Amino acid sequence: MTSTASSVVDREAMLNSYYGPFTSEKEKEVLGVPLRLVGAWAKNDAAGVANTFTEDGILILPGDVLKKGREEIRAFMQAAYSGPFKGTGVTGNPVDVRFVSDDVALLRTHGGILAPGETEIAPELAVRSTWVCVKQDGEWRLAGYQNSPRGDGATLRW
Amino acid sequence: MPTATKGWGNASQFLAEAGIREDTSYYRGFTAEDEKAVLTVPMRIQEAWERNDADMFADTFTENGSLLMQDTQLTSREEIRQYMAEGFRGGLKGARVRGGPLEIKFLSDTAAMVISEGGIQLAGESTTSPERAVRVTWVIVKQADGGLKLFSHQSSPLKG
Repeated sequence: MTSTASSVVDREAMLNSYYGPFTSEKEKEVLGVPLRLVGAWAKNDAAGVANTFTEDGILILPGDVLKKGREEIRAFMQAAYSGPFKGTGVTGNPVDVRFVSDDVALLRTHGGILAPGETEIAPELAVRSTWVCVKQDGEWRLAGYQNSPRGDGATLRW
Repeated sequence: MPTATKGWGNASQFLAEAGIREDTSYYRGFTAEDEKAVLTVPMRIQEAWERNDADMFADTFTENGSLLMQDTQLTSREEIRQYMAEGFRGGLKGARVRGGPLEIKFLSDTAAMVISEGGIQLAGESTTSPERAVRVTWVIVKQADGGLKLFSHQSSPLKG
């Protein structure tokens, strides 16, 4: 097998493992949204992360982060990649995919930020994420993304 | 200026049907007809907390509605009913919630997203303590009969 063919096979295996039980074309299509965000994050590409969102998409993170619109998200990520998120990656696997309609879907993933050089998420960085996705002009984007602590860090909350 | 309605319904009518007094201050700046209609879903949930009524709470969700409570992910109306019934008999007895909308986005003809702030107040508390202050994403759907239901609720702690 050539190295190119082998990397295609590896990519295929990685994708199948990521999709897990969500194997319909429709599900795989919307699950491309987290893949795009993970890819942009791996390059610490703030504009790439922001472009995963709709023009007026919303980002909510613990630690009093509420960013409205691509430009605020891009500026926030830019600053984070120069500081606390520098060199980090992000990972996540889908645990739920639900369609409201053909152009609105809700994804939930378990994942988190990977410290530089790490391949496993530290327990205190584990999160549960909700991705509110909409299909605009044939492409799925984030109308809203939010995460919350998973595990012992999850406090009494409504 | 209120925008023309896209048929999300009439807030006053929804609240009357649910037996809830209309508190117009809840709407804050979101006073277009469709916005008010969508906000009756969080208002129904807040009232269910007020009454510690697990059925009213659960019945606000779609059949496959999802709710994250602390570290427990609930994924159906019946799971939500059971969790809240136990909660209102136990640690959540007398608890209520306070909050209000920050953003409303209409995602399609049948889906809307509300971002809110607020939090839980345990029995005897009159304010939301800082460690329980949250921001919430609500996904609200319009059903075939015109009724509005909660499809998903997840909060993130403000602190972190």
